[in-house]
Amino acid sequence: MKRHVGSCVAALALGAGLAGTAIAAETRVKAVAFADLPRVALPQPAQDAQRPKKLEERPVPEDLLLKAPPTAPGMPSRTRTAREPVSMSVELARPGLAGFSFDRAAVGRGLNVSCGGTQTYGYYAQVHSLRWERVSLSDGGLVVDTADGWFDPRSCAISAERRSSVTLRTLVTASGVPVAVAVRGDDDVTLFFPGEAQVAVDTSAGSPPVTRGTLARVTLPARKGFAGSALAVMPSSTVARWAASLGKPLVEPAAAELTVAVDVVQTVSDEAPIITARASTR
Amino acid sequence: MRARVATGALLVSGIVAIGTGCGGASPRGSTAPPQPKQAAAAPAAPACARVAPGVGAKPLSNRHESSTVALARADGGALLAYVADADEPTLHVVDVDAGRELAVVDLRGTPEQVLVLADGRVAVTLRQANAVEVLEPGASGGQLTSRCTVPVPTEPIAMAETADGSALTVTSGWAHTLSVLDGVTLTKRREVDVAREPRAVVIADDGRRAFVAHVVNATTSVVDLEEDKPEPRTLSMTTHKAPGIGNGSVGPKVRRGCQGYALAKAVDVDTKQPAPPPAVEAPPAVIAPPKPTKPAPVPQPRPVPPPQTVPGRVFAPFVTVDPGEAARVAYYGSTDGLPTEVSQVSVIDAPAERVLTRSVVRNAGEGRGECLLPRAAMAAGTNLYVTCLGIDALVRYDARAFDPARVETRRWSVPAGPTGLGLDAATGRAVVWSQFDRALSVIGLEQTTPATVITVSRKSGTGLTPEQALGRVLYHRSGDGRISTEGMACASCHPDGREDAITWGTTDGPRQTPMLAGRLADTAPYSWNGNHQSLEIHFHDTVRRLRGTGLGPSEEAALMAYVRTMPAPNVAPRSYSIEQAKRIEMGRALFHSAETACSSCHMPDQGWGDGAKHAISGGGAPGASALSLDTPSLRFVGGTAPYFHDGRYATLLEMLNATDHTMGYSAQLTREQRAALAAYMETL
Repeated sequence: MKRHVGSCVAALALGAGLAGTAIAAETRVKAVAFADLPRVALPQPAQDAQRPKKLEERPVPEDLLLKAPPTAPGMPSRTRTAREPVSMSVELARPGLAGFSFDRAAVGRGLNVSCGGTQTYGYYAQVHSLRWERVSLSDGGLVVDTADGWFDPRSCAISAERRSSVTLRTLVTASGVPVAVAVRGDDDVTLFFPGEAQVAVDTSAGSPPVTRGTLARVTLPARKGFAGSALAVMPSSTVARWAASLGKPLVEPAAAELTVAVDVVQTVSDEAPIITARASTR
Repeated sequence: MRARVATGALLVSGIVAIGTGCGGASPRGSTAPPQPKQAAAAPAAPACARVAPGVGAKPLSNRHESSTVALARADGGALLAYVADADEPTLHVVDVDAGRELAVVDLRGTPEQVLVLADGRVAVTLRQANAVEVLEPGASGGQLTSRCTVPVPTEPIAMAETADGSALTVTSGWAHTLSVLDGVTLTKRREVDVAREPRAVVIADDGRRAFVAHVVNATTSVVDLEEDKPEPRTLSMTTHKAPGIGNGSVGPKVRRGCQGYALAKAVDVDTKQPAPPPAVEAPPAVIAPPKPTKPAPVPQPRPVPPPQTVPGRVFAPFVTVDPGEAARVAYYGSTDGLPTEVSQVSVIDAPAERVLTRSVVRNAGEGRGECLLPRAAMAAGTNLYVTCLGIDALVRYDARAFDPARVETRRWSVPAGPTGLGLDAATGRAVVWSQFDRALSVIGLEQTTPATVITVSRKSGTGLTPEQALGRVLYHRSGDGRISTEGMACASCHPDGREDAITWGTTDGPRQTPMLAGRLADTAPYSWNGNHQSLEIHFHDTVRRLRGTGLGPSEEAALMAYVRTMPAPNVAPRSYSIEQAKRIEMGRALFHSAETACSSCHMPDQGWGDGAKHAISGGGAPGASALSLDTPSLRFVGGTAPYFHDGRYATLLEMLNATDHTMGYSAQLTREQRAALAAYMETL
């Protein structure tokens, strides 16, 4: 039985600016050369094998403060450092939660994150990995700042072990806002969609997981003999919230429903993977 | 209607020779009356060769597959279209540039598809005559002289030639074979048994393998053209819904497939574009702690153009099907959140012999107006073109995609019944043959102007009546809410009037689709439970299960008129060894004996049924309760696997082996006797 349930909301500062290439409504389809994507070794979330038994208390970086939303309508939200025990039961709620993923699981509406309790079993028995993502726009494209660290539910302590920043190549924009961005590795392509998008993915090698934070992220194989497709469906409200989170006003009203898909295909005869992106509305 | 019923007479002969007919060398034109006839018995391989090499129209480069229309370049440069008119035994020759018909050439049977061979000869499959006719062009554009008629197994449909013209392959639908013929003499080199209902065939770039599409079961066969090679390989194109789509509570579920009529091989086109600059490797992005200020942009390399070719691919348009749960359901169709039928183009990596597209990755809400009845396909550069019955359109897809059917880039409306396609890369034109409206559409692929439509002539007294013609259009119409709320057509489940090899969830439980063509006469009542005394009543119930609103009386009458005249396979006499003939004769005796009592219900003079219902136990399934089912007709039963009302048996022999004495008496038979019984049933 939970006696102490905390609310952990990563506070994000969002930048402004826009870059990327729109797919014209009449064409809707665009091919991108694999070599034209930025090659990035994306940081991996903290691995279980490196999990500390106990998290040492340390100063919390100012930009990684955890927030508890208001306990009732009209009440102010409270900001705490993770070191402070939280003894109230609060459901994590959007939009303040954006950017926070927990043990590589998607953080969606209604996830409870508890800390500061006295239990010593199950969830409370070990340190969990945490990832913060902060998204901003720059002249070069969508920039994702990532912090990977740990969270100890026994003490509410957090740590940020590694931080990185990558600029993603925009594949698709909608209403002036990038909604599909990508980078490549040596033999794969990682796609990013707004975190609230409904994402489906499959490949000739099985179905890779979709990791959610501020962005929904999925990696498709990009090597000979493999093919894959990722599809994201976004209602207008998702696009509007995404644009707002980027500080970018929509240049036109968002369509009732936006479907964005990116395919990566390389037959044994293709010299390089072929990437196609498309968008349709209804 | 045809209701051809084979009898034991065919079996007594043991070995039945198949002949070859020579067309002679007389030019045939539109003045001669159509003379469909079976191939005569005479070897004619030498007659197939060209008499005047180099004379007349030439094939377009890079096109070695047949369709219902084939293009050629006349000596003067004009683009010619040879049209295989499936409604009469003629080949139309049309000057595409001039927009007029040049000639109507009589054939020895009703044509199915046509191919311009590498040396300019024109090969035509004669579906009902079970032969391939070869004609030689003359100096004038419209002149064609028959050189020979070569017998092939039952129901020849599609052809493909090796790039060097050394071999010609022919698929035979009902006989489920691929014939490999010498490209010059058309003598048989190899005859390979393939899966059910083969249709389109393409030859791989290596010239040594053929890829064959199949209407049912979502498979593509790969056949080695050289002799003494292994049996054909089967590539499965079954798919599943990608995780995250539609009804999330439904996990991965295999979707069945149908409508595998077409195949297209990737073909490079001269895009006349300068060679792309060499790729510039982008430096790894800087990974560094974020700074308070705006991050520095990543250095942008020179843009690299995406590839303009898709080498090594074979594209297989078909339809993925979710027939619903095996449990009793009120309506046909999907429960996995996707539409019951979803158009798909599977990408086959030809050198690797692997299917890359193994799942449906699409928005569950998409799909109105999809191509649910694809019939012809051709690729050019990064574009894939598919003609679609039902929506009467030529659709262009992006051939680079994981599933090109999801990436439609343009659509052209054409007259009803687009069964064939030709592409002329040199002039950027597509030529589409619409059988139902008997019209040729000439489409400028990069233009916005409407297509030019050329109507061809028709011989009096041939083809369908106006009522039957309307029925044919209705039978193939997809996206019509009067028939199905999900847009399925009659032809969706009954392609070519046959069946889809799929077992559907129904009100009464799982039921496999029955064959219609050739099976409707003398076989009332209809439906598996035998509750519908007339075809019309059964049609009403089928439309109800499809949640359609129903057709008006005149349209329904037209549809029934067409359905009743759909041609059955014209099964060619087969050549049996003495041993095979003896086995079939043994099976015939057993079938008609009191010992097995097969013919007490499956009576030859009553359409191989008895018009009555009988209780069966459910085939011995644990806990199965007795069902009372209408005796199904066994006409053409050998070509309609799977078997039993719920399609549980893959073969006739498997069904006979599992008998429990509630459907005839075969448990007392030896293994050899059951095999003989199955062999006989294959001939019905």
